[in-house]
Amino acid sequence: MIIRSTQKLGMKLFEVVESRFSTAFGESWNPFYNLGALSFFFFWIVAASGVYLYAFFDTSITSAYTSVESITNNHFYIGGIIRGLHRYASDAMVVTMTIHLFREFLMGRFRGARWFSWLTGVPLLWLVFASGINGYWLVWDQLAQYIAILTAEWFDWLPFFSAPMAQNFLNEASLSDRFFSLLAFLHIGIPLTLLLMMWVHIQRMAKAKSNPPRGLALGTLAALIILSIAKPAVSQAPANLDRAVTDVQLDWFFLNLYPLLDTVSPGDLWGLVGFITLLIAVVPWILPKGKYSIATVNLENCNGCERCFIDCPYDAVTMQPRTDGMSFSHEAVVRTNLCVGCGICVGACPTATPFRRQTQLVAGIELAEFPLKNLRNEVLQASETLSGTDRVMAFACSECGKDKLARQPGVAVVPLPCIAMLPPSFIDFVISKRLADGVFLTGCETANCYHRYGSQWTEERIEGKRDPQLRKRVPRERVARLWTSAVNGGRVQQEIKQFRSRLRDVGPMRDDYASMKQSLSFVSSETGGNIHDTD
Amino acid sequence: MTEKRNFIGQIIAYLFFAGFLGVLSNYPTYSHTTADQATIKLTMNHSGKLKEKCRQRSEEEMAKLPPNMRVSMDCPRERSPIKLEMIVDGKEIYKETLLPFGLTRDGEATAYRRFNIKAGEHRVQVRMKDDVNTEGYDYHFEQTLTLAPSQVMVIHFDNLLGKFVAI
Ligand code: HEM
Ligand code: SF4
Ligand code: SF4
Repeated sequence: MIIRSTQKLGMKLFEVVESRFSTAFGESWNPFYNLGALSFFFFWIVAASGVYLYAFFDTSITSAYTSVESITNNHFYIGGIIRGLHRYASDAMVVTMTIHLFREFLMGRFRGARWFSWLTGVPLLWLVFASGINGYWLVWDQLAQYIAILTAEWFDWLPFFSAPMAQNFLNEASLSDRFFSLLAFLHIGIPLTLLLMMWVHIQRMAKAKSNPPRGLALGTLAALIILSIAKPAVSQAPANLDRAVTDVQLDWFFLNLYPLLDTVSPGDLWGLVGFITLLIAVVPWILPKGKYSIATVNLENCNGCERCFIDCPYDAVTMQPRTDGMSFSHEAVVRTNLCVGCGICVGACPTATPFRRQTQLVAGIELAEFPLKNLRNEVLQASETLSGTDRVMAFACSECGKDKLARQPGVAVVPLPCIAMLPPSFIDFVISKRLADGVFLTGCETANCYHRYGSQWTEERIEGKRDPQLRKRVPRERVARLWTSAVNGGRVQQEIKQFRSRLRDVGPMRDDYASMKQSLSFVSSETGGNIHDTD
Repeated sequence: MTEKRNFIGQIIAYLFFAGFLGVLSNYPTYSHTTADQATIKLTMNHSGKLKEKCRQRSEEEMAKLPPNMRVSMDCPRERSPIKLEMIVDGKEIYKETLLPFGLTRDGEATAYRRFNIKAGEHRVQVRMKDDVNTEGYDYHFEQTLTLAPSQVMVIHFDNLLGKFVAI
């Protein structure tokens, strides 16, 4: 309960900040909507600059420091800038990753089948930090010395080592190349493992956004380059193990926990980070999962058109060879362990049309506990509460939308798990049957859809760019939609108000459209799944 | 559809982000030790004496063993845990019993400890006991050390010399 309300409050805060960013960047470039993609982008910057640095880096402990100094000072400006990019892009990755984590948490995008992305995110935290700390070690300056000693002391608490690792760093005399070269190789190994795990992390998402939009990418890169020039990344004084490190400039993004080691024991720090890691890892299992219904295929109505397969944002639908002897080559199969119950597949299915008779209103793919029959009943009931010439039937995504639409007379609200669950034929149905004078759709901002592609698919279906399309004969002045975040309740109200006044201006429905639909309605569905819902 | 954008707003956001990175990547400076402090590192890798002496197996015991393992001497390999202490200016600042490494406890016992103390002159004593079968300490180290600010002094057990040395 407390967690739920903190989540809500946190998300509100995010939305307030994000809507500002949307004003400046436009929705699609909004950095908050591209945090995962930006993390990827920073990784590539770090990787590319790292290759340059590594080419000139000397992996022996005696020459490491001077080789880094030489890159910084003797490569004209290039070396210094590249070093700056390497450092600051790493820092930036910590920032975007951390905000990404909080955001996915607050949005509840770890629930149900989405546990996979969450859990595979956890090792990324460790790998990012390990890569960065390992990198600072290689410079072999005062900071590196500080890191070397504290990290070794920290690891020595674990019972794995036959001799303490910290004995490698007792004094200048005890220093050996072997351990240092190992670290240099780890600085390739750990980031490669990170990349592999990043790839695993996005496996369960169809069309994962792992590249930021070009405008955002260029802007960010420019910012990092300017930073690298304004505040070059430089080494501190060279390491000298015969003298203790006193004042040291820390990179607080990576080393924020190190000062703790001056006051708490290594064991306690292991306890703390272990606890935090575990706490993050178990989030999908200790927090309420939320109720949702899995999609199921009704084979007799599936014609194998692949639309659900194409539209599912979670790769939960696969197409497999037909098993029931029908003449179609394929059938849709839901991988239930991947399905998050968004219903987007239902909205994509050509057989999902409310014009069918009640007994036959079964689509090729349906949410088990929220069948289309129920949706149609809800629409019919909602319609009965409306009167006047500006009646609006509003369909809203229940993640971001329901609250935006405060109850008001003359507007009936039908919530859906995702706005893209609504087959476009329902819009046609509502208007042609005069269940309302206009249909209003609202869902999350396109670039920030809770179900990833819900708003975009809906928009494209209405604009006739994606199957199933909204029929051309539906009068467009009677359809309005708004993709916006939950904080913009005011805008939604205003939009609805304007929409209703437009509806009043347009006046009541023309009879010909209605009667034409009347005669077409309840088409017999002998055609099976082959109902054409495009003009 | 082209989106509305406000480039001034973007530039402000980018500058803020770059500033945030640039500052927290370097500041605030952290004081790990103060300039008037010195460091002593106490370290040791040492095998304790065998815990039990070898002894002759009796006839009966021999008979119980499989033929290929019938060795008349029974020599348990477990080593004594090591007691290690450090006393600075008469105050005990460290005392630990270190277990030999390995599941059968037959390896070396190792120690590593770092202490920050005020620079200057100090009377440092280290005592070590590596045999459970005797009384008292087996190794003693006592020396007056003069530590310069930030100096790192290593006191380690030299296995060849069989004693602690400070370097
Ligand atoms: C190196 C760090 C990381 C990178 C590069 C990264 C990248 C991404 C990308 C590209 C997406 C897909 C966004 C989309 O297309 O909708 C994503 C989604 C997600 N990430 Fe991360 N991520 C990172 C760290 C994390 C961490 C630490 C967590 C949490 C523990 C996490 C949890 C999630 C979740 C829950 C989703 C959404 C899954 C869904 O929508 O079903 N990620 N991440
Ligand atoms: S409800 Fe449909 S679209 Fe949504 S995840 Fe499940 S199968 Fe995919
Ligand atoms: S008919 Fe419906 S269930 Fe079958 S493949 Fe097409 S969209 Fe999927």
